[in-house]
Amino acid sequence: MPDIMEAIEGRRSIRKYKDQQISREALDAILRAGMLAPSASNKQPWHFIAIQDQALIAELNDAILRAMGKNSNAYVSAMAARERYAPLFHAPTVILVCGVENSSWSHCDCALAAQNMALAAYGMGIGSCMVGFALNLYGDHAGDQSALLAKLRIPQGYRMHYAFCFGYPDETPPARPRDYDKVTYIG
Amino acid sequence: MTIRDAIEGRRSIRKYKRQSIRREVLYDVLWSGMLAPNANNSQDWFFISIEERARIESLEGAIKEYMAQSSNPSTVANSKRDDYHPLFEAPAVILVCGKTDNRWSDVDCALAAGNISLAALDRNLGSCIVGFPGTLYRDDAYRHHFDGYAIPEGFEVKFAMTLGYPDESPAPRPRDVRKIVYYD
Repeated sequence: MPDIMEAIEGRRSIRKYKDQQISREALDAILRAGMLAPSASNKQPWHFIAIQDQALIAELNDAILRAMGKNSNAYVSAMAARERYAPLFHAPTVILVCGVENSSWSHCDCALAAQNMALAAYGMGIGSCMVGFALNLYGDHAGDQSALLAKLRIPQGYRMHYAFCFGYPDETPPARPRDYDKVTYIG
Repeated sequence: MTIRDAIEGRRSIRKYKRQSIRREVLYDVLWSGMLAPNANNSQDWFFISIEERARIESLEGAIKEYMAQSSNPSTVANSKRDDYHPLFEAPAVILVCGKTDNRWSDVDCALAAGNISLAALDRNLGSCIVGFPGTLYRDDAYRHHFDGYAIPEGFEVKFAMTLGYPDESPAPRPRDVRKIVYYD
């Protein structure tokens, strides 16, 4: 098991995955790490939909892709038009990170869980990438997605915040540049 | 420290030793925050690290003033107690700021905060995320308490993190494991 600092420094967003599925034990370890994140007043306002059913992942990917294509934002629709573009990167495992609706801290708390999940996955040699484009499914431009959303069984009162892809990396991207001039020290 | 030990061992720490944190350590910990993933690598975050006692006490005073207006009687009762310190008398308080017009900045700042809390633990530091500074910043009547912090234009305080050497070792809080649906 690698060192926590090595994980923080070595983690990358992975957008190309091997076909090999991750085991249920590895998936459980990732989810457990997520649930160990702190949350406001320990409310744990998250819910995780862990999908390893390849047909369902493909259906979700295609629905997101179609919705992106109809997005009035040119950046998003151009992305969708790219050849062989797959918003879920053909990842073998996708976790939909859902949070309680109308809660001021649910975005923060779910993201704290997500970062634990990314680091725990890294420790097992598993790559990950958060995909905000999944929210295109909720857009007016997406048309009626109720059948797909019902199939995902997102609990009442929760909303998907993003999709989170997992799998064994088939690429080793370099670190993205970071601007370290983002701190003020006082005292 | 292994990833597992860090994730399993992290607690929110609400009691700190007086001992200050060396600047290099603080820098390394905040650096770890900036290694978090974020939407389009926009890095729309900003960290203001406060170690000046008087400033921390003044923020605590503002938070207690805000708490005194609460509809929750126990919050009001806490706000009246002299021995209640909403920033736990921590030697360092980080104001985590995000860009106001970036819809992902709550998420990105929290991803950074997750890294900060784990990197802090690796250096034997405890941390706690405190939402009140973000709540105060969003309230027109309280925003002026942040006037002296040079928060960059277009940014807002999302929340604060307290940092310091722990003077308590709390047990893990219970977790609800029925929060997963599997499809396979």
